[in-house]
Amino acid sequence: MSIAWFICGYKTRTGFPNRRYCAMNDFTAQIDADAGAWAESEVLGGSALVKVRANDATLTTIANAAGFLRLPSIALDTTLGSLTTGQRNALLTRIQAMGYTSAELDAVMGTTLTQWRNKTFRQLLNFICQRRLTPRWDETLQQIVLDGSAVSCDSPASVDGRVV
Amino acid sequence: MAFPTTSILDSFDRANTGPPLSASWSTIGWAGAGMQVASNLARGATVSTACGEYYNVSTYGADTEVYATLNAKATAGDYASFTMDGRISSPGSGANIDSYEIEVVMREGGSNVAIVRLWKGVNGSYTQMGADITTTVNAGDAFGMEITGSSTTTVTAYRKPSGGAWGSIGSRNDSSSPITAAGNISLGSYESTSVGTLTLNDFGGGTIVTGSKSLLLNGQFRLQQDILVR
Repeated sequence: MSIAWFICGYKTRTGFPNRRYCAMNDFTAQIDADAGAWAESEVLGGSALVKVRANDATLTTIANAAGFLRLPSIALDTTLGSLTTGQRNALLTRIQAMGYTSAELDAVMGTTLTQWRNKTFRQLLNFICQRRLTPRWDETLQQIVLDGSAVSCDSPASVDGRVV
Repeated sequence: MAFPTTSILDSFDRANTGPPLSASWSTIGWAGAGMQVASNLARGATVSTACGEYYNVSTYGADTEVYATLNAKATAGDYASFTMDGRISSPGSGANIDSYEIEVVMREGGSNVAIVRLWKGVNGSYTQMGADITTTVNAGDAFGMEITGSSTTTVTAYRKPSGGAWGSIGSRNDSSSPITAAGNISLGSYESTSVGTLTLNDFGGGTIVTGSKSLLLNGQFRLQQDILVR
């Protein structure tokens, strides 16, 4: 059994456009079969930060699924010392797609790979979990819209504590 | 904490009627149709439509519980579910409704497997809280939801097997702009093939009573503070 952290999106419940669920739920049956667990924090841009405990094969399957980004660490207070250029680029792309600006990200994580490697995994996750926008149901568009007020997210520490 | 601590509010023992279930009920904002009473049981009024009504007599909470008995579950080939909401605000508005909800989904009618989902509704959009909870379901089982707390709100799903005792089957915490105000409670159902195969009974709930003991006596709950009466 192993631990992994992911960023993934949300999916609309088929037939019920006003209802959405964390995409990790598509793997709940496999995770349960491993006697594992998962927990999430919704973050900016309709994404979720998710911690999963499952067998390695299940974690690999999840990592290879469309829309899932496996994060390069598992322990909150270790540095990102082994972070590669490719991993950093993938994170940059995904975090900016959420809606955070490069200026916001640079201010916390730095602008170079070396600077990122000196940050802890907790610092990265705390940045990702800064805020989200509240959702609403748009009757005209017949879809969920994420354009409400900015609110705080469940903290990485909270997610970490729910999956041990 | 004991569950439940409140009494049955509606046993649906009356002549066929509805929607609505009675003057004590109103169509809930997210529903496309209401509920009706048939043969002293509650059921959705329209097939392939989310049906639901909220109990308009009072608001409850903030700490709230709601429960109902599944009299009959979906038959073979029928995909069906039933829901109960609590801490409902703006209950009649599809665009403004907020609530926490338990949904019991019966897949491939005839099997005894159910998927229980806990939902958070904000401005009419519903987000599932965490993972599906797999459990057993049989006719006569009861399901319920308890909503407690404020800065961190805990939503707990309960099941009572027919003839058995209530037990928690899973809970989820919400500390990201949780719904904290008192509100209404509701009952709903969805049937994909035909109306009336899923029927519900003995809807109860309200503001959670602390420091009490509960006893099931002849189908009704009696609350006693200090003495357990047999």
